[in-house]
Amino acid sequence: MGQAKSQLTDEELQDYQDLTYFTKKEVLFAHQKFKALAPEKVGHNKNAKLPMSKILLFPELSVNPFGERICKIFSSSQDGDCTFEDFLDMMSVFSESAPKSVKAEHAFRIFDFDGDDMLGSSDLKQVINKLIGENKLSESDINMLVQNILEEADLDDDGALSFAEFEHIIDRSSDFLNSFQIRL
Amino acid sequence: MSGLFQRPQLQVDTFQVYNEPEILNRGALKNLFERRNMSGSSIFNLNSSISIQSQQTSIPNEGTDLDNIQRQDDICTYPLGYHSIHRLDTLGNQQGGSNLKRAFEARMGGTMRRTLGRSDKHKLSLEKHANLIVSKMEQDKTLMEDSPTGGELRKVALRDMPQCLTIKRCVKVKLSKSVSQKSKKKTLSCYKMFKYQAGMAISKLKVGVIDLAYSFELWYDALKKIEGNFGTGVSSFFRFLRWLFLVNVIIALISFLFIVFPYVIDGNIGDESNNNSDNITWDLLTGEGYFANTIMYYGYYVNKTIPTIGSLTYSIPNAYFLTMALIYILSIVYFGWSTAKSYKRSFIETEGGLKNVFANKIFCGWDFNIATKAAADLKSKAIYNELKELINDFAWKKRQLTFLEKARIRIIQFFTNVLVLFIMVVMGYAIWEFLDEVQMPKETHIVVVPLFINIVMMFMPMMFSVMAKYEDYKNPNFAMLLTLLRTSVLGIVTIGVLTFYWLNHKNDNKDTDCWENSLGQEMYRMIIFDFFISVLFAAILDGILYGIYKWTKSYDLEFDIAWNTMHIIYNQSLFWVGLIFVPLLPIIIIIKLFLIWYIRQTVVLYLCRPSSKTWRAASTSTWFLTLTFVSLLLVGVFLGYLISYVEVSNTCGPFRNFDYLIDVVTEGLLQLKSNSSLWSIILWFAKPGFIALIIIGMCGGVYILHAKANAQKETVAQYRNMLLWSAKDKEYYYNLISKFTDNQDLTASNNKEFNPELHQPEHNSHYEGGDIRRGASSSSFTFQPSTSFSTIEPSSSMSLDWEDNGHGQNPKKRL
Repeated sequence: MGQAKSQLTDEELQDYQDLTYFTKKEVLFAHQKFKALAPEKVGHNKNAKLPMSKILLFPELSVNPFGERICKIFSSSQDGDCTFEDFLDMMSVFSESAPKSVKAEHAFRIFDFDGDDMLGSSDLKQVINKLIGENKLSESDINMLVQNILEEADLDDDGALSFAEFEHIIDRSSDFLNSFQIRL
Repeated sequence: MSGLFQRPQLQVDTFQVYNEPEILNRGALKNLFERRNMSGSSIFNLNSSISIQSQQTSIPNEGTDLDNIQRQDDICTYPLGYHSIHRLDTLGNQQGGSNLKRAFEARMGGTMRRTLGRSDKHKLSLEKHANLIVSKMEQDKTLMEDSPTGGELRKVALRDMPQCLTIKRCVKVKLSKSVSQKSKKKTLSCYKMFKYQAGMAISKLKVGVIDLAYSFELWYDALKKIEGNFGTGVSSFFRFLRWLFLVNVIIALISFLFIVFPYVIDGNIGDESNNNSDNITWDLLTGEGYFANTIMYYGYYVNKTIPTIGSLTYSIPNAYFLTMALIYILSIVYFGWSTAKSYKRSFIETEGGLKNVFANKIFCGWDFNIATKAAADLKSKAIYNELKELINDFAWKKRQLTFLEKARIRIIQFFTNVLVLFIMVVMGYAIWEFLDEVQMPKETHIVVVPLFINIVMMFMPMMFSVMAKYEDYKNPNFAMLLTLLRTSVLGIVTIGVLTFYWLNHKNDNKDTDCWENSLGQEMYRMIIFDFFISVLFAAILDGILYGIYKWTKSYDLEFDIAWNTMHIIYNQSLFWVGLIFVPLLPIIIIIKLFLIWYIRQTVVLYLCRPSSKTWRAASTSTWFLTLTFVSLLLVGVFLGYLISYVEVSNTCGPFRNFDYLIDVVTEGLLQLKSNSSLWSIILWFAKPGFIALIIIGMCGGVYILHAKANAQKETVAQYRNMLLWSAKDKEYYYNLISKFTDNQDLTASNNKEFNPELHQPEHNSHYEGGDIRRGASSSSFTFQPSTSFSTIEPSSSMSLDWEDNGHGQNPKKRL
């Protein structure tokens, strides 16, 4: 940790501690992890911007079907490339201490593939397809699933889930906090 | 809430936003509508087309737009933030609710900006983005206060804002600048100064403690590894194990500090005169022989007071009783509290959970902790299977079961339940007979009894889970719960029979005249043997099975979370029964749990394969906690009976001068005489009539709360209906505006030669792509300027109040 300490200034650490759900030690640990993704690059410049392919080396993200989406959502340039601050932000949202509402907001953005701020049936289909990976469900099965989800969650019957409706579901799910979590 | 379902007020700036193609996407539009719906105004104020045309010519001022939205946002966070606000109400009880709400609103401001600023075409520079947020936050006076509370609020608001860290840092710098500019230097009163400083110190300490706890987190790497390979389900068992371990460490500390340590330091150790230590291993295994007369057991302690500094003395009986009482009461309170908290989280806040089955499977399906390719593949497979199952279930539900099939399932379920009850009774009787009848030398007896019981406790749950498979319950969670319940009843029966036997026959044993010691030794043996059978033997069995499966390549070993958790709950119950007479038992139990951790961890990591079923970690861990709590309560009842109705031995232990354990309190501590007034008051309170009164009162309370909950459920249903209606209205207005703006669009393109620079080329395409519904409506719409305007204009004078319109009426008819 000694090396990482020398790279981040005290002021930065304080800022990070105030603005994320991490303590200083965890921030340093996160920086270590970040550095491990591309040792030379980060060694030269602590705020180096790593391309998405490097960020996806992080084990939890590499196997996550939404890995690329996550990178894009958290990237400040919105193209998937992440600086350390973006990475820290990501880890902070996925940490145990982040509140449900913050997690829900980011989950919504991750699932919202077309970026129209609604989870429409095409978004839901994509989510299902990503979840089942190589296994394939028939078109009619997927349609039925989407239909059922909308029936459960779409309170205003407009064929898509708004953030409010999404949060409503998340609020009533006891498993969301457990599953939407990455231990640093 | 009165304005909640009133008509929206449409203002010019609504159209300003809509006419900005970059911002126009469906979600933003809808959010906007939802906001306006809530704004409490009932006038349908559709300004004439002139103003709309005029805004076409003006350069849209994006800052004002955003601020307009923001202002609305401040009044009406429903429905975007409705639930969060609801949550904040509960938070508010702990710390200034209004403050938190403000922080929350500021955060919502951030959300809105995120929504609007995110669109790629409309990308704001980070700097600009930050400026927007700062200007918004600056409007909030509480937030900008130059006081520690204000600072804390700013911190919370910023932290919860869904923005990237770079923006947040930028905002932070700007905010602190503007705060220091604006702040008027006020002199703080001494008290306030002190309060702030104390608050700061406490929060600093808190952060420090969390920081420290982080660096000492027990078994962090192992947990992480298990989580990465097996997901949250298996790791929930290990978390539970770790939690119990830590609780037991605290119990061990308390018991050692207040009972064992003072006794040892007084020099009482060393008079193990009649101890024969011919075979230390045997003694260690059975707790007899050498250990029978050591500080490990109750019997070794004597009734004495230890002189300390000055005239103060340390009374061993009082210390013993109070420490034990403290441990049990604290445990009951702590376990009760954890159970309630967990229950609240997974059942009350989720309205019983399990309602939105499909949505839950999709949105909470992926376990983000998974970090290996193999585990991820299995997870995909598991999700696939579950979705398949859900679809089949859905089809299955539609198909009515024939009467015969139903009857068959019911009969099987009935008979298995009868069978299980029968097994329980037989088990209880068998253990009793075994203890009572079988004549054998003492050495054999003390080994065979715990061996027999532990083997039963190991294999019966396995049998139960096999039985549950044949019962064909539709809900696999219910089947699992039933197995858990049966297992715990079995545990209660076994431990109950054992203790009851001991209480009945406590004076039969002529070798020792201290039945407390015997009971303690029995529990000690149970715990030790349980380790050999359910932990070591089970691990070896797993190893052998793994070998066989590997060899035949037929099957993979899976970690049985339910069985393993039930085992440590059973273990904990044994511990609670034994603790009162074995002050050193906590140390034994923490060593045992420590070893269990490593053995199970090895088994999981090297022998098992991730489960092909998804484990509902949150709700099942609530059940585990509840079972632990119930077992603790039952032990509490047993101990209550023990201390008030069972005579203590008068030749050993610290209470040898008393008849009953409870007398330590009544005679020893409180020095109550049987005729004192306090004693009679206590007796009066303990009368059955009074207790019945309390119970009746509690029942009444429960009934009232239940009725209230039902009433609230009905209200919720009504609100849902209203929401649906208001959504229908919204849809209607939305279509109306789509038509209208398309119309504008066409007008604008007709006027292209007059203001060519105002018309963005991608305007139309964006409209088409933005929303299917919109596309559909615009395709059916033909360009008829005069009719279109005449359609809309009358509505400006129309009062479209909710009450006026009526629920079922389609507003379209009015036009």
